[in-house]
Amino acid sequence: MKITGIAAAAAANGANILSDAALVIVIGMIVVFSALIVLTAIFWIFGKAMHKNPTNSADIKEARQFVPQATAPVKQPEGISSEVVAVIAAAVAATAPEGTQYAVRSVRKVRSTRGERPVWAAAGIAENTRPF
Amino acid sequence: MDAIVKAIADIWNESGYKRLFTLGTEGNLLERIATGGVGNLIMIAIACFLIYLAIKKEFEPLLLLPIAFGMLLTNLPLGDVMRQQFNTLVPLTEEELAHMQQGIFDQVYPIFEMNGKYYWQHFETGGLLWYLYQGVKFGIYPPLIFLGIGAMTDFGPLIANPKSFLLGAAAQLGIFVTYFGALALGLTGNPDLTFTEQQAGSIAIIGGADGPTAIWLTTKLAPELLGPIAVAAYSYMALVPIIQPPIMKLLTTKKERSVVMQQLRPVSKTEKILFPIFVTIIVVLLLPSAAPLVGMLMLGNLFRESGVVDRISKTAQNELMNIITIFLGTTVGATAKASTFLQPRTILIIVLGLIAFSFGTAGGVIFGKIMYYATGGKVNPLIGSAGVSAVPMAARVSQKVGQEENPGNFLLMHAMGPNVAGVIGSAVAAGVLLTLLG
Repeated sequence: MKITGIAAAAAANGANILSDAALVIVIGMIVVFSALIVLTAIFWIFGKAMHKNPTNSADIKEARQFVPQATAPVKQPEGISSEVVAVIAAAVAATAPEGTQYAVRSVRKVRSTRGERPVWAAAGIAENTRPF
Repeated sequence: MDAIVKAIADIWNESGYKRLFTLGTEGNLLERIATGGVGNLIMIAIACFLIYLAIKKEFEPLLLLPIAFGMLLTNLPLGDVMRQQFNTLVPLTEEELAHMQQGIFDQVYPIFEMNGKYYWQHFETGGLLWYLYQGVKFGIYPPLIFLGIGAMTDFGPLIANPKSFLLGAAAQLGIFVTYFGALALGLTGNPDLTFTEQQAGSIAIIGGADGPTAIWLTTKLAPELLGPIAVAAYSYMALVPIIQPPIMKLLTTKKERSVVMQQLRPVSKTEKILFPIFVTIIVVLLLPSAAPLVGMLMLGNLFRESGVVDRISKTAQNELMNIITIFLGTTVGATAKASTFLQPRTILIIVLGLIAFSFGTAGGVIFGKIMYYATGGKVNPLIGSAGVSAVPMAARVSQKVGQEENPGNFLLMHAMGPNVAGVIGSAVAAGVLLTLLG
């Protein structure tokens, strides 16, 4: 009789533990979902508001201000491909101050004189030794 | 000759080598092994294996290497790198008191008087790693790691597709399921399988797949389990490419895995700046206990996105992050002493961690399927598994599994949304557990 009583108490205790644990699961998932649902809603509304009228956005205005002008074809000697010209133009654009526009008119190979360091090697050394 | 033999014997007796081949004096065989030098020997072997995994297999080497070396250091007998600082008051003996009153007491230590009695302060400095460990103990390092993570993370994919937040929430299912499972084991009546609520919460957070969060919560709820939990958390994060794909494939059809998602919209700088501010306000007001983790994560991100504190942002991403990683990894590894690590429950923690991880992955994928049906097939459910955190490994796994079905499918940026949402989700889940169980 006593053993049955102890077993019943243990079972009741076990049921309590599991019901408490289930409560933690429910509360935990509700709180996690609530927090992230609120964030979802805010950033969804925010995204809609920001992109509601894309014609007003500063980026688009800026893009509209830039009208590409027809330029003369770049003079390129044999041995320099159009890809190399494009890379050089991109490098010039990347280093140019904001707002300024450059046009690459011609490209020519610079041959290093005997004993002189090649241009790219010199640039590499300058880049690596600049911090010192 | 006798003198030489005696000198060698003395050196042997005082060295750590002799200590390595001893057994403890109390308990069953396993307990005697764990408390004796043999336990240290086993831990040294485990540490060397983890070092091998970190260097040769590159399993999360940035953290596993310092953790493994900390484990090695702390298990070298007599090294005492984790020796606690000792500071106590010892009552003066009558003889010492008489000497003091005569003014001939050698005052090496400060003497205090309390209620008419005299005490001298006995102070011994602690081991190096014990001092560094205070940053873990007081919950300082994990939020600082989060500062660095925030400075390194681009929340753009999440802002572009805010629905990803929900996948980050669903993938926290593993945490709560494991919490339930760990407590249910206690019903067996076996003391080795019984965990307190706090211990169950700490084990469950492994499912968040976020090392700093797991360490932060464990130091608050069950610091005695820090070693096994940290090792399990980082091991599973390294094993993401092995654990997740079978679960992802099991829960999805070929058609679902082949879904090509629409390109994400561009995100403006204003949105990126407002994101950390909004997240901090909303989450911390809802769950103040998550403030250290979420606050630092978002501060780091604000440094990054504001564009006006480039130096601070770079410091948070590199120097600070690296320094804290060294301190955190080494000291967490140093908590894995043989006496605490070589327990049957360590294996149980590792198994429960795997369950947490698997359920987290499943939760994310299942919610991904719900979103697949809700959106008429526009969402690939594979991105849901990335919601477990483990940035960016889990997102890479989504990409890889997606490309197995359709080589032209690029899910990486789509998966980065739930991936970074998972970091926020696991920090929120940790805050919930701390609030409910702390």
